[in-house]
Amino acid sequence: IAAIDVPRDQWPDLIQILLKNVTESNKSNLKQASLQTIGYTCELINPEILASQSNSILTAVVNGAVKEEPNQEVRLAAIQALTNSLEFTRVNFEQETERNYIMQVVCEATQSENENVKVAAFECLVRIMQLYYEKMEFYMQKALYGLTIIGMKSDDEKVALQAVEFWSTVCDEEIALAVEIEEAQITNSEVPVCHYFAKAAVNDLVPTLLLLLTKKGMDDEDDEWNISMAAATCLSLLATCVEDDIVGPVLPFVESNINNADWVYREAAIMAFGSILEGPNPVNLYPLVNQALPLLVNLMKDDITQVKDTTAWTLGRISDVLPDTLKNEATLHSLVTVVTEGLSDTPRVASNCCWCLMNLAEQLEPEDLEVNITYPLSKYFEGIINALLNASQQEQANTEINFRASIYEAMSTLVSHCSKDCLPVVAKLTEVTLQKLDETIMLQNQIVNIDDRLAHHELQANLCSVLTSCIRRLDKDITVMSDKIMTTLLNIISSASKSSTVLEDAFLAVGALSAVIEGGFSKYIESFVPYLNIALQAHEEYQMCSIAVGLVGDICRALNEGVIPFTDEFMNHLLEDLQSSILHRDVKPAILSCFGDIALAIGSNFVNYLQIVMVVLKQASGMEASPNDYDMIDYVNQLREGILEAYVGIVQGLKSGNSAGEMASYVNDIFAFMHNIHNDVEKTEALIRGILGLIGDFADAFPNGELNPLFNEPWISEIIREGKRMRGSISTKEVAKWANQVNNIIFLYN
Amino acid sequence: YKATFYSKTKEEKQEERRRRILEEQRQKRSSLVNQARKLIEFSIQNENSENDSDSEIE
Repeated sequence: IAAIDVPRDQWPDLIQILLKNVTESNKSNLKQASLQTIGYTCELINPEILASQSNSILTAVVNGAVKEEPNQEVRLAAIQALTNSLEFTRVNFEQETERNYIMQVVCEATQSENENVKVAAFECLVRIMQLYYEKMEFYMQKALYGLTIIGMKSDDEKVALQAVEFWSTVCDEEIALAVEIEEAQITNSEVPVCHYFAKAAVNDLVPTLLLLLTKKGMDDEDDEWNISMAAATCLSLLATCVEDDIVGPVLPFVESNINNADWVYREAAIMAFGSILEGPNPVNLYPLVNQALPLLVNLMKDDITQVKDTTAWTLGRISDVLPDTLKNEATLHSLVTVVTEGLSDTPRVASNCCWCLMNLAEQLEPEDLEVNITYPLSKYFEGIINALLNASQQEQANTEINFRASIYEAMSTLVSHCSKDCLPVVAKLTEVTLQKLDETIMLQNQIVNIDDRLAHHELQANLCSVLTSCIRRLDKDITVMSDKIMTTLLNIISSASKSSTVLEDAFLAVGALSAVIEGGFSKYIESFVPYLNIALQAHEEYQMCSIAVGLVGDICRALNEGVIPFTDEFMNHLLEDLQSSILHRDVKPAILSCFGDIALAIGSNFVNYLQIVMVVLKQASGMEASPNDYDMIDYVNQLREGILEAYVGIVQGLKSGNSAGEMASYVNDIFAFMHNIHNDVEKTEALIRGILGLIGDFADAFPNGELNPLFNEPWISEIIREGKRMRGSISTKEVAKWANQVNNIIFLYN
Repeated sequence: YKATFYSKTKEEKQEERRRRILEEQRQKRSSLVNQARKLIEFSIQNENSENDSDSEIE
């Protein structure tokens, strides 16, 4: 109730009432309930709203959290409320005396006899470190360092988990700071302060983390968070944070335990090695990885599943972050062999093998897919695809849906990144995939059980996704199979249930096919459009609708004027979509861009829709975001990009049909819109690029000086200069050059 | 912990894919638009050089 009433100022005395309960009542239950209420209220309500009451809230919660509080339940509720209120008590935290007092209360609570209080106090320290890193130097030296290192060794797993989390948070903050420092140095702005806590603590942290890695049992599930997982995460963050400094303290543990008879130590050694692969200079890691690879390959044959699981993950990490270590043919051969064999292991191991293959496919991808005939995976390609197909047929692939998804994702990735000599295998895979899809269609009426139905939808979605990759990779070579592909896809689409994502995946496959066969798509359009029109009206399933909008654009690009017989219906649905209050707002910028796609395709025929579209675009142009609403700022920028893309498509489309003059009465509004964006401090580079392109398009569409007064306005030359100066983007500079060049010509001749 | 592509939820993966597709469509659109612009630039340059050679003859 508070979450609804307080922001509307309809319960102004709530915090005072709760405060009174905490400070004046001697009833423990009432105190505890009031503190919990404060905690939940703080958690739910925007910090800005409660900032004015931060003093009262802090007084109440700190009062309940002190060590003198006899009731531990009250103390627990107080510390939890303190954690939730930290975000809007920044003013108090800025005051040294107040900060000292809060820190003292929290640190004392970490020493409580009560386990829950202790855990809550460590949780509170994690939050403090997240929010007030810059103020922590003094407290780290005096207390936090010691408290947390001891906390990590606690027999109580919950305490140890929070103490490890504290150091993971330190690393998170320092990793983010490293990026900020780098950016500040480039832009010559103020460099933020980093205290390098992780660097100073690395020698104390690593032995404890390595010890915690060994705290695991044979029955530990992969999806339950435990101390060894927390330690692995922390070690990995520490490696990113302290870079080369991690190698020295970790390496002896890896060397002495990688062949340990006790599987727990063996697994911990592999985990430690896999965790430090990102952060240190790759040049320093190459010799270590080269030394470890033969051992890791052997460990894929270990008797213990957990060991194989972590080994497969480590091989995946090596393939992902240090692919240069695999340039040696013999090394690559042994790696590909073990991970391909691993596909028939338990789903846990096999999923990591799929991930490893995905990484190999991406990292070893030929430089130019259209030019390079071969690549290092060519000779294994058919074997890997067959092994993946075999794995997909295994019983466990049917029971473990996520594993099956992994198999198909690996297949899609391999197809998308292969060289030309693998295309015959891709063609064969396309046929197999179509056959499998046909089989699923025949089976679907026999499925009654809801879980089986979900698994069935998932399988169809996975197969459609592989099919999309095959279509894109085979490019024009797919033409011979296009009739069969469209027949299967239309069957899938016509029988797909509303609740599944199959339709989305099938539409994406249709989009890929239209992009490849272009005009050849015209023979399927009549049969396909009815389904597309239904999807365009799916206001409640906005993701489906969004894909349908994108597909209209794809079809326009494929068919150009061939799309004219269908544009009336498309335009009606798109305009209805824009007016819908149910349809998610995220789809709307794409709809505006889609107007541009239609205009580009049908040229002067767009005149029929010009008036209504211009009204809609002008309405959308009026949308503004308030300065602190970052989500809205982002959304308005996306909307503006959509509007600019629509204008560009319309101007270019009409010009190509010699009808640019039809735009004349709208030009002033459009320039006012662009000028408004130019004055906005939140404008993105994409918007600058869009404006520059449109200025050039207008100059080209009105070559007889009709728009010279508009081009003469000072902001035009300002934005062209701004575009040319853009630091990173070549494309923005090019568009600026385009606008400038076309403008200069116009002025020269007028 | 052992972050892999598979640690992402199905929804996250789908969202990622949707974003990628939107971006690809945006790129296709802009490449079409840029192609048209390049042609215009080319004809402007041609016209310029013809004008230059005309003036030389004069």
